[in-house]
Amino acid sequence: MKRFLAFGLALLCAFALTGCGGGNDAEVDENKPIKIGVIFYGQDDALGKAVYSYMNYAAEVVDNLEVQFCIGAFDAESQRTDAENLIAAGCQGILALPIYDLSTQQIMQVCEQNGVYYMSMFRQPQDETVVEYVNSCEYWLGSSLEDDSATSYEMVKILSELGDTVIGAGSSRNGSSLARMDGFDKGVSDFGITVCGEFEIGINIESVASDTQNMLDSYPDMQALWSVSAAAGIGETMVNLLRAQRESTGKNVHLITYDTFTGMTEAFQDDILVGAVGGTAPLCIQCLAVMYNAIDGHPLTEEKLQLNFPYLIVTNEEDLNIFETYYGDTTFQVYTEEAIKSMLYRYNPDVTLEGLNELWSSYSIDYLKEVIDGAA
Amino acid sequence: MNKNPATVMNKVGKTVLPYAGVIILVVIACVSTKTFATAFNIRNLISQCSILMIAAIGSSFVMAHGNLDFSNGGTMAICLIFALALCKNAPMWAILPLCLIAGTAMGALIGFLVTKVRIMAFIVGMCLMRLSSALLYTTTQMGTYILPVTVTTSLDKPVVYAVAALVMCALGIVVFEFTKIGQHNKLIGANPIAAKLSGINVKRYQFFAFVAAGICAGAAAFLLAIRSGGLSNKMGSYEIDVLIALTIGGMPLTGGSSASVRSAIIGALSLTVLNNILVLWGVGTEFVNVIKGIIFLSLVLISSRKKTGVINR
Repeated sequence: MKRFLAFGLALLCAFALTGCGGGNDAEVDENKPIKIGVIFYGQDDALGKAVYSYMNYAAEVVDNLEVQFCIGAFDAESQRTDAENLIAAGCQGILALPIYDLSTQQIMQVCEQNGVYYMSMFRQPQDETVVEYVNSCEYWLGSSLEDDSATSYEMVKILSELGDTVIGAGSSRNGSSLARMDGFDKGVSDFGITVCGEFEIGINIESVASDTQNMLDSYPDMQALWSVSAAAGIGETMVNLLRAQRESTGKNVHLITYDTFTGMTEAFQDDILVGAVGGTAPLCIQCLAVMYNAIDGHPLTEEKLQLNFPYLIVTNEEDLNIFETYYGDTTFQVYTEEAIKSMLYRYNPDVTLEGLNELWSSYSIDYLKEVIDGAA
Repeated sequence: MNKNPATVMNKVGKTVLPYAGVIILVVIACVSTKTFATAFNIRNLISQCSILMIAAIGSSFVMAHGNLDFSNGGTMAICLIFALALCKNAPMWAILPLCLIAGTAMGALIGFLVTKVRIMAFIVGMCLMRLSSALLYTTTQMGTYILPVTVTTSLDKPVVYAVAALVMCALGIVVFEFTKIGQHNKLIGANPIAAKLSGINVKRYQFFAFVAAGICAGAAAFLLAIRSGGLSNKMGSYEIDVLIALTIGGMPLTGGSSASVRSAIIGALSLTVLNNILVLWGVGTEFVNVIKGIIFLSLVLISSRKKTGVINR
């Protein structure tokens, strides 16, 4: 009896699901001819939530666009499986945040075999063989990455303008952090900054704490600390140590860092934090526009793209309030319906890559303020 | 000879119902989507399913004697480290044999730890999961191990996955149903004391079960290398999927005489088809896990069978 009940339950579930699933590949809807699959690691953190919100908003306001997400894959094989299933579900393009270069290679392989466009978001392939392979593929549109190098350079410039000429660095000279370090090195060289000491930022918060303290003890003339990351408690730890240092010695050491963290308001008020960097989630709209135009038959360029998207650099309490208005509310849309449509050839036949690059590079705290004021 | 209709129904049910879940899913998928039964999607299903199926076949041997197998993911990862990183300069054709050698060795090691050192199998599996994760991280920090695209594209074909899965299914069925390794492990799962009293070398056959699981994990690792294109610091996390697949397929968690390789095959198919059709249906990511949970439960109820010939321990 139990089995027959279960059999009935399974039938009921399956048919009910077929109904609520929308049967999106069961019929061809003239108004939804462009379907883009998105492979992302999650939607629980700030970036994931924002990307999910922005993409779905774009699908809502652009009449013929449909976006389907596959969330949660953390390895190359699972991401490839997602790509295969999305293509089977009728997606004509895949946007993914590939966890590894291997993912890029494998997703590209599946897309190339099936005539489906692929673009990498928030990641750029690093391995030479993978770069060579994707560049040889017809359906590789390119990649878009946060503008790490320029941002690091700008961060050093901010310190220089504050008169901080002797600085310590919490660095990471491997993998995806290399571009950050390149910009840092260039800034240090151009602005005549002296790096008194450098330590590796790892995932172990205790090591970060002891290394920071060692820097403070070893280099009493250090005026500021530049950090490649403040995620996972690093920012809070550094601010606490710098505050304790000031209380015990009376000497103030500035902090400028990638990532945002809790307690930034107080850190700005205390003149410890002089800059924090984040907020690149709208990069996904940049990728969406590139993909949409390519599928629509009007690619922005025939070249393989290597786009960059600017960070927001928060340098004071007022900027932080604007930033938090935007980041604290996942329903807030950085790019309005009008702005999104202006990126698409179907709505704006005059669209060019140069024009879009100008729009994207104008993304800043001031741009955000204008959008917030406009929405209000 | 009179047969009780209830007995006949029960027997038919036992034979047919384990297949019902996967058949229902396939029928519904065919009816509700246009793309499920396309050549492209069937090719996807074959390649997606093969790794899970082979790993699950191996775990069937371990589960038959009543142990929970959490070691397949760790074993697969270590096989890949051995074949792709430690033997980096070996020719490409050697990847499969190297994976099988590493899988066999890992199976023997796990078997030794469980049967001789008397550490519980699931604890060994958990430790291996952690160890392999750390080894993968360390290995990938030391260098990149990406298979040439020419190799992956030439091997990454449905026929390769299909042949591998068919060969391993056939071998699994033969060894499980027609050799002492399978039969004795089922008896041990049903009642280890009775098995011991009847003259079966319990530890020896349990050891063989772990070796069989290791060989299957080695074969699965080879396919994983092709599908992943190389080595990354997170791969081979198949432990939970294998257990879900076996449970869906009707494998009794306590082992025994009703354990069968069929559970691995049906379970792997069901799980792969389910994951595929949820995407084809366009089910929102918010609901995917809820839906999976409901369907898993339903499939488990459909395919669960009463343990026959089992003496409760």
